[in-house]
Amino acid sequence: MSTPQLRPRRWTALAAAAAATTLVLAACGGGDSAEGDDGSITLRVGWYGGDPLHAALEETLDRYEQDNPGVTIEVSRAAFADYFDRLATETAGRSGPDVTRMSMSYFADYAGRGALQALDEYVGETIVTDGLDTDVQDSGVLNDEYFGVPQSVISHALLTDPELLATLGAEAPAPDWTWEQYADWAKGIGQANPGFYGSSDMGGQLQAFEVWVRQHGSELFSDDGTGLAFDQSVLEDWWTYWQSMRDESGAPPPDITAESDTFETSVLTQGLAPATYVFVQQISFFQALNEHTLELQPMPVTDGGDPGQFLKALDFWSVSSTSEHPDEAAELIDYLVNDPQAVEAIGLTLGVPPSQEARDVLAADPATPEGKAIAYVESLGDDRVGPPPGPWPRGYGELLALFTKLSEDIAFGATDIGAASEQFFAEADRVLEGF
Amino acid sequence: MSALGELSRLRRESTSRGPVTARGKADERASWVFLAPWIAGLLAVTIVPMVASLWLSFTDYNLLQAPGWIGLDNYQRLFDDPRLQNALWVTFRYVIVSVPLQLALSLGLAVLLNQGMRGLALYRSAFYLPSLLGGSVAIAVLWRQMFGHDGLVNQVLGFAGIEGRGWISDPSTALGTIMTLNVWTFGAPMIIFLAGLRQIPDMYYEAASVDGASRLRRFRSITLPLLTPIIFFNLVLQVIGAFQAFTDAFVISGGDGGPSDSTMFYSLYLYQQGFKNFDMGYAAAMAWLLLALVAVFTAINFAVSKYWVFYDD
Repeated sequence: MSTPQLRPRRWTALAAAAAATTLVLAACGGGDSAEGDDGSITLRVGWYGGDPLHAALEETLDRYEQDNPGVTIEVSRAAFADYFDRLATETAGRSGPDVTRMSMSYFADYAGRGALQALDEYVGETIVTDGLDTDVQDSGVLNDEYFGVPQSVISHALLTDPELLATLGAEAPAPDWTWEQYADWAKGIGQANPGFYGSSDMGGQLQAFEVWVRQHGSELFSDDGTGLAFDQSVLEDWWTYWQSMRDESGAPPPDITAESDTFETSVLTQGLAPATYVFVQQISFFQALNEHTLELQPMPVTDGGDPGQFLKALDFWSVSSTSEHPDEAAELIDYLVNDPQAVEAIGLTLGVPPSQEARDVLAADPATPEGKAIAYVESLGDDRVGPPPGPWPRGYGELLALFTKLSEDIAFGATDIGAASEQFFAEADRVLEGF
Repeated sequence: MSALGELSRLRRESTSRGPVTARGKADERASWVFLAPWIAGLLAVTIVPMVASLWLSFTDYNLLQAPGWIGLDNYQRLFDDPRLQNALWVTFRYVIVSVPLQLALSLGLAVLLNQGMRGLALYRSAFYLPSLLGGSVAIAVLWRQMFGHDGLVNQVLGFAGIEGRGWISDPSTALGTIMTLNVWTFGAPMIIFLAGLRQIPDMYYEAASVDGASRLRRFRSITLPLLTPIIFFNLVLQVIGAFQAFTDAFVISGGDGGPSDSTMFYSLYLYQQGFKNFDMGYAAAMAWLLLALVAVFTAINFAVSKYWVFYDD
């Protein structure tokens, strides 16, 4: 009989099957043994951004590793959209990076769903935040818990190209202009120079619209973050304003705008319009692509209206709630925001530093884009800047995309302003989920 | 078919050998050993995820918190989501326009290449090349450049005195540019057609020539009918593939399906709901609707095939 022979074979079969299964499962699992034999640990640090930021942060983290022999750092870096795809998947698999760069666009989604660790026990102790500007102190707070340490201070701005303005035979817009004056000026440029336009089309940009809303005496979102706080007529006026800008050559037609959604293809970079809406630190990205020297100035105002802009942090350092080393993660965050060498190496790649001390360390040349960004932020007074709004509620990202889509529908004539406004309010009710 | 005949002959011989021996059992075990990696893979990357996806489609799952059972809510929402209906409409148009165009083009070129011309291998490779590249991000980026406002297409049109437009940034033409890209990647069906053409016995053509049939007549009465199984095969594959189109629209629209949702393909919207809006439960329900739609279309394809597909045996 062949029974004695069969035994080992059955064994082999089982072993092979087990081995194959293990292989597959191992490939899915992705091992992260976080602690070495000598008590050293591995911290994973993740962020989104471009090449200059990657270089600056890697240099800083290398130095941190040298100064802290017990800590090994692994990095996970990508462009914004890719980074958040990855972060969502990693977080779902409970393997999110220990320290992550977090954007206000997703802040409430992550913090409000328990994906981030509350840092209250570290703030003021391990993580020194004394020097932070008053306006950004509470930017990373959600439901009375501290989830994000501000990386930068941000405000809205108008980015202009004075050389292009001169070519087009137009004066620079004055800082105290109203939206009406801005429109007259922009339409004048477009009508006198066929193929050029005075301004980019901001109609589809919810973040520019927020300035308009606040000038009209309201916030974008209700206090509990489950609905819109402003009147529908405010939105209709905004879209009417931009419809008239497009109709009278103040802003480009919608097919040009639809193509201009990156720094490279923006109407300012393409030399089609001398003014566009930005967040202040973006002057560095635009300047790198432009031979002309670019300038910053505040957004237009509403006659007799409130200050529309605000100073706030929109990017943070946060710690994943699944991190096994929150203490070490907090120490690293403190290093990133407070250590003079780190501050210097990072420079303005994360935006304008949110503390006077850090800005003084950098002492940026006022002729550089970085210097202009710092000077701009410091120049904004109470007439421009109101109290910062609360965090963006869950569902913000979806609403942001919807706002652009509806504005395109209007511009391409697929719907009218009344119907689009109505749809925005209806969808906001469904999409916004508070904090 | 001779291969099938061979197989059944082997089978008869092997079963006629009498009762299953110990040797046979050992062989069976060995076969399981060799199958094990494949079975493990099938379980880990297909079966288990599918079951999980079916379960998730009945839950409210935001990726970050544990899923909660909500019954049929996600499926109900499918029927009253205007953006989903728009995405379906975009996808249908894409399938209905680009699949027949692609099949016609690939068949036409296959027939042309089958004329026994010199340098056939070179042409075949050249025509096949777009298929290798077409699904890639690089080509979609190139497409974005070509059909942009200052793109190559508008420059060529400019020479001809025609004023172009932003082809990919105008909702009335954006979908068309993506269809064009898909039609351009005709290489895979073309190769299959070429192989099919080679299998048609020459004697049919010779007999037809003797009877004085014209080229067109020979194509219509011999090539086309004998090729119908291949056309059917390509049709089924391309329809299934087109329903799942994603990469081109993702890259060309910059990921948002714009302008004005004109390139919001079904799978792109699914991806947005799952990963951008943290609505994995709804995305899972969308995936099952897509599976159902593809199954229905494939079933219709098979049902209709009885009336036009001709099997020569």
